[in-house]
Amino acid sequence: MKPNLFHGIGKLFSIMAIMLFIGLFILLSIKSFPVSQDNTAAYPGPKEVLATPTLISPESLCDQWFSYRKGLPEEKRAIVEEEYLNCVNARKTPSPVGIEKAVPSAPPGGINELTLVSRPAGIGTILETSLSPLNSIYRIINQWHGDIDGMQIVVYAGGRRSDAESGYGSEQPWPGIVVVAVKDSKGNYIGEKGGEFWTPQNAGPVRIVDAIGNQLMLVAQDGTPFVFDVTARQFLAEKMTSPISRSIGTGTLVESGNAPYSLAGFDSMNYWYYDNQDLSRILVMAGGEANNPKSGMLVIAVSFPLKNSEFIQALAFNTTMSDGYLRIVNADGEKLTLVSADDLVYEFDVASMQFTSLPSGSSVITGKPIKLEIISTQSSPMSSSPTPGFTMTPRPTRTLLPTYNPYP
Amino acid sequence: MRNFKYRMSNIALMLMIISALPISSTMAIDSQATITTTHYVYLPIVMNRYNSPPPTTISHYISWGQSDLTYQRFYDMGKTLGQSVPSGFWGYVILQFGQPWKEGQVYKIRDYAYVTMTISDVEYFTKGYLKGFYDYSPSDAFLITVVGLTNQGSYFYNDPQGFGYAWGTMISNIVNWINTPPSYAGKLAIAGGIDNELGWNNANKSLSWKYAYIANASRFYLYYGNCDSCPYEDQPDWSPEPLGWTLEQVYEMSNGASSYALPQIYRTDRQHAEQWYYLSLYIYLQGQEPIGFMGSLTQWSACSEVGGCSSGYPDATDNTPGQGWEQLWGEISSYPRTSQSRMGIPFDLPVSTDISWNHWRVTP
Repeated sequence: MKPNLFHGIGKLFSIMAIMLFIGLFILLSIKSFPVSQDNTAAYPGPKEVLATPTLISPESLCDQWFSYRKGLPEEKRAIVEEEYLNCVNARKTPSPVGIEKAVPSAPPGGINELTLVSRPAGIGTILETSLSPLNSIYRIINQWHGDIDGMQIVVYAGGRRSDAESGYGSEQPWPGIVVVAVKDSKGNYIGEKGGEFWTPQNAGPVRIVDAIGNQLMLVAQDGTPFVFDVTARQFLAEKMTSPISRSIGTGTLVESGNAPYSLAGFDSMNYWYYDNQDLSRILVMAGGEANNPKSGMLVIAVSFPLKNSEFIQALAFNTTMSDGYLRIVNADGEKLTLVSADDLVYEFDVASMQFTSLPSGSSVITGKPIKLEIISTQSSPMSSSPTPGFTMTPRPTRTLLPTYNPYP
Repeated sequence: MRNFKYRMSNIALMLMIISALPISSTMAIDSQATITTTHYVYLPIVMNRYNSPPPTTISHYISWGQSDLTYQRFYDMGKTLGQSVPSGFWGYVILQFGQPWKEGQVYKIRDYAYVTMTISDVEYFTKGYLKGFYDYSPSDAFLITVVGLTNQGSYFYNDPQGFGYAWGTMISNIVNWINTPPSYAGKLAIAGGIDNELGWNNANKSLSWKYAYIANASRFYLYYGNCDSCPYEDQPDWSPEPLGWTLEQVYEMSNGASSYALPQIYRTDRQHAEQWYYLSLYIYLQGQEPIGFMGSLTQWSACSEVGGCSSGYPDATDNTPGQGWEQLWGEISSYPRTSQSRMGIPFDLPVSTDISWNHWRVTP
């Protein structure tokens, strides 16, 4: 009796379990499979591989290409419905192959080769442009183009935003990087010869300021120097004078944002100076407003360094194009060439203290009197050389460094 | 023996039932609120259907210099694609022209060889490309060409509306040209496009471009940009940096009126796919439609050509087209909330395109 009772209860449970399973199966199937909507999908795309058009009508063929229209929200459906009808009508009319539609006429010459600011550097050329094939996780500042052993080499310099693990949100969330792209003599890219290389220390994005042979000199905004050997694809350990400076025009360009004077809210990229015969010194600092990467700013100061650095005049010029920080890249006499982060080019005449060339769309930029503060003259190259002179950039030694790797 | 079999069958039944039960977990959706969500794990037999990646098309960065920017060059490009596609081909190809530029009051594009061209030139060259494809492709092929620009630079920042208007007008002009008899609409369609990257400009600028575009364009546009530094399951506190985009703004730009999302799924560690899934889920939980992804954009060809994709590192950005598509598909198809519209219409991700620097490349 007992075994029969247990057997009966067991059987009952088994039947209940099977029914429960079947019920769950049906429930989950309904939940998992989207409801069929007349062969539609909520995106543009065909439902299946198309059959040969000779076998199906224009309506059917076009319907497969535009089947998704039936599932679109109303505001998106009208356009696709129109495309469907155009497709059907076009396929119903005789094929226009051979019946030529007039070739559109060329618009009047609006194609222009952009004149980029460039200068020879080592065995190549520095191009002052941020345009690169890299996406927005890179912040490219400028690039160097050169030919080595029959190969065309481009080195992009800037920063690459790092992830949380490697400093995202830290003081330097854009570690410096160079990206190397190599083409053969026929212009075909050779991917395996390229690569990307982090600066040995994270001092933020870097830009190329000079080259000796195939060794590029780069600096971070604070003036920290680096040397990259293009042939060895390595950063070198070298002892370079910091900051790097070079003689351009009538003065000296110092590639450091640590300028000898400070202005509240101003962030400097580099500065240029020269001493007049009357012992006055003119200093031009390029950069932008701190915490506003879209701003551009030029600060000019006239002082007598031998008379307690007393300022005669200090003016600030704000750009109007929201094109980012300015940097000085060249000079002809007292005319400075400046480039913004967005590649717009400016010319500033120091003698007349005004912009002589502005990018298309810019409003006139006028200077406003400001008050500067002296930071320190001890570490500045200006203090040791009151008259402008070329600071030789020492040739770096060829000690290879392991590339800085920000990954954990 | 009979009892053993009987017990085993009961155990098997119970295991099957247990395996079909939902497993729940919690997930922080934004920094303000923690929203409890449920993750369902289904029996294999009742899982969402699995789609294999669609055939990949090659999209192009336009990097021709002045002497190569001709109607004939673009015609030959379209011809090369047309000759290579099989009968029954259907696909999207992006022509990525470059960055907005302006000279005086003339709206222009700066391509990747530092050459500027007017937007009328872009229209002219695109017609060449379309005609080349039309003349040389199989009679049952269909191509949707996406004519794109970036949201990059100060000219975009200063006049996004002007560029939106000009781009929309250009797209409408091409639509009219396609439809003018003899119509090419049986083989060709056109769409606008934008490589919208959150680090290049702020949301107000991009949305201004959008609204001006849709006011003037007779066709939708594709968002083939990024959702960089958007939150995802491992980093729910991230927010789009550094220009203050909100998730709602990214959604509006990529999937709102007249727009479809074809996001960049570049990272091999799945982060990009997870970010877009997370955005779609976030939007769903706000009571709106999840994102009806059109597919994925990868840059495997461009990486193999130029480099610069951190190959081999954990955050490498050289997903193959198949990897990119499968990562996005894998994320959104796991859950009914993101795998289908609220009406129950499934998202199939029909597009997989890979961008290249080679104008003549037609396969990855």
